[in-house]
Amino acid sequence: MSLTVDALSFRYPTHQALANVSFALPKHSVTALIGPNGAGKSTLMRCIAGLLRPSNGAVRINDVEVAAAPREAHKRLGFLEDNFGLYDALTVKQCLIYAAKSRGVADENVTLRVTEVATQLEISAKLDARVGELSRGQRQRVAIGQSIVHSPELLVLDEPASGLDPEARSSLAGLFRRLSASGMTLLVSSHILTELEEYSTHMLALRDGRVVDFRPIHATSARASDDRRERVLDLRLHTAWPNMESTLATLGARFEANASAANHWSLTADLTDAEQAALLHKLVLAGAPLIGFDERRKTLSQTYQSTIDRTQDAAGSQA
Amino acid sequence: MIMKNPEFVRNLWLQISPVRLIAAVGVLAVVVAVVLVSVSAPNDPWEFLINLADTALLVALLIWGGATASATVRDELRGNTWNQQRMSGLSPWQLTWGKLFGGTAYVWWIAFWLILLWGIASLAVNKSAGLVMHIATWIAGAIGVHALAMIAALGFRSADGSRVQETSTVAWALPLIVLSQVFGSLLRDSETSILWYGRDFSPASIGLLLALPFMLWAVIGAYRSIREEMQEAMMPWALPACLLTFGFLLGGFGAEGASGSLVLRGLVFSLLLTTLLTWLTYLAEPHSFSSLWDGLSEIRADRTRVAMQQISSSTTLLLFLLVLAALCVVLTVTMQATPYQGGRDSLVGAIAEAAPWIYLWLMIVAIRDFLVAHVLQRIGKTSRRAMGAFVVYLGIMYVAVPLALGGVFGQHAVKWWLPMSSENEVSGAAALVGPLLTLGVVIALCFRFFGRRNGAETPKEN
Repeated sequence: MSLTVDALSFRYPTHQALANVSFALPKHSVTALIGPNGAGKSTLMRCIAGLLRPSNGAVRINDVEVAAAPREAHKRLGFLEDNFGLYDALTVKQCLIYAAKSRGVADENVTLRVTEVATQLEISAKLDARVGELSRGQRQRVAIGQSIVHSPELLVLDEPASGLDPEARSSLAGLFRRLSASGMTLLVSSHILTELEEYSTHMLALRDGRVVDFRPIHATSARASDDRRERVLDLRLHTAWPNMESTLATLGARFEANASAANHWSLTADLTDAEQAALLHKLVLAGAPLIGFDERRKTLSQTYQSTIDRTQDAAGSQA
Repeated sequence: MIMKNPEFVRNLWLQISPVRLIAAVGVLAVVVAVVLVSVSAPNDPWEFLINLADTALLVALLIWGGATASATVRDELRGNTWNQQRMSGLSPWQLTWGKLFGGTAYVWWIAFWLILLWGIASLAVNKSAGLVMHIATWIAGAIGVHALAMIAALGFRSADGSRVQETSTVAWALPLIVLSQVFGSLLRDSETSILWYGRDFSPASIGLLLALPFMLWAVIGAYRSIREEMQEAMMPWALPACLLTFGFLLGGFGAEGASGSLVLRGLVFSLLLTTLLTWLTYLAEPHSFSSLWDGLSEIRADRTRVAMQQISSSTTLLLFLLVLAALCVVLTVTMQATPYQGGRDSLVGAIAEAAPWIYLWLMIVAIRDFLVAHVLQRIGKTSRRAMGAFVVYLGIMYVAVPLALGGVFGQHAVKWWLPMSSENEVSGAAALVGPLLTLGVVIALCFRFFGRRNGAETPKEN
């Protein structure tokens, strides 16, 4: 695992920001950190970056415990805060050189790394421009460039797309996919779920400082060793079949079936490919007049909403 | 080697440009030319230039330089780049001197020309005696002020740590600059030599003697503040080392045969006592100032341990310590002064007459007890137990032992509390033996129990 968070708690003087948060990010994954305002996303990221010291628990980046060896951890980490700052009076090149040298890139490799990062971020043409003269999107790229110039294993980005226009956001999504493909593990927080969906492989949902859901989402299927994911299956029947509900009930308790029409069913289930094949096979054997099915991708927004609904239902039933 | 420090180089990029370099020299050249042309008497232009350079150095090096040094930290906080620096691979020392000298590079460029002007003008009117000492004192004092400005910018921050409380920073730095100027002028105007450990020193040498440890400790303080920010482990060795340095310095003035103005000595001791008590807070861990309210909030949130850890950095406690120290000095002095007539004038005179041993004794005892509190915090299973143990310690040291020795108002109690008082026949040096021995034990305990910190138990924002 690239990042392991174990029973992490953090308390501000006035309130508990994180309570017993645990998860582990697989290497090369891109995890969308989502949750409402005040859920503890930024606090979690700052604890991971070693900028806040947790009240309890531990954060490990590739087996380096952040609280015990923060400086060692910082070598493996790039962190972009939501309110990041840049040296406006310096040129982009100077900013990247400073970042590279101050983060331990060997002198002989600095020029090469600056060129590589500038190319990767598509800001080569702006290397001699002063940072203060750049657009918001270009500044964002320079800030990301500073965070990755030392080739970290883990990149943590807090609201990287806030304030960007759609074109810049799309470009940023492409950048994150390239970074992930180059072997980096990313943890990205954002309120714009459609944007996260473009490049995320996992979803980590926080609410009131607690993890309410952590799972792979559809984009992971190509990479995850386990192909289990939440699937929405649209089933079309030749005619209405009265035994459908009772048959589904016998096939397991984890189904959420909603009949949208008498001969059209929609199932939501947490399945592997093999389990999905077995399910369809059993339905046919039971006599379901199946004429077609389709796996409908569940959007990140839908996944998140169903998580929130479940959480609220659980809270309601407890109350 | 110098240019290998990325922080220094970055500050040079920001501070230095050909236009700025030439502009500073150009303006200075014009001023000198105007003075040389317009002042007609033979020596007057040079005297004028000496005064001009002196005043300009005060403004440039101390005031502007202090503000610039403070800005090297303040701008990082304001521009949200400080966390990136904290997460960088720079060593704390690289970051410290990179900011200290890189951030003030332009100020030093101007100071270089002013010092050159001062030197040439002094040589022109045959006032070269002590010139090198004066210049060295200026440089050491300025570096010290710049380092203190950095410490203050790091120490006086808003509750979330993102903004510098500029009013507090200025309020803290200004009296120091004023005091140093008053003290400097006293030294400059002094006609007689000053005895230090029985040897004659010129006022200029004494100025340098005081400025050098000031610079040393201010730079160490800045380094330790930045090191704390970068979350590197630290031992609390600075307090005893600082005490030894200033104890050695003060001891020279208090040694047998010392002479000189009583008022001057009083000023020296007051300044050093205040500085020491301030550093006692700054160099302790954690170093960031906190308010009494912060501590109460922590206790309400059932985090008494954190509150206890912040005690040494509480501004309220610092003020309390200063008042307490002042009261102790007044009490001790009034008991020692012979004859003490009562009234304000007599009190001022008595303060000046106080033996240096009293100040040393108070400092040693205060620092010893402070370290005891830290050790108890470290070894206590809970902060409440640690706090309780500290109260017991204070009770034993300051109530039980004196009572056992013969009652609060008895001769033994006075000996215990104020060993250098006139009630005693114990000499100053002998009276220091007890506190020094106990301080040594406490320092040994510190090394045993503090170990290498990782600060993981301090759940506060850095």
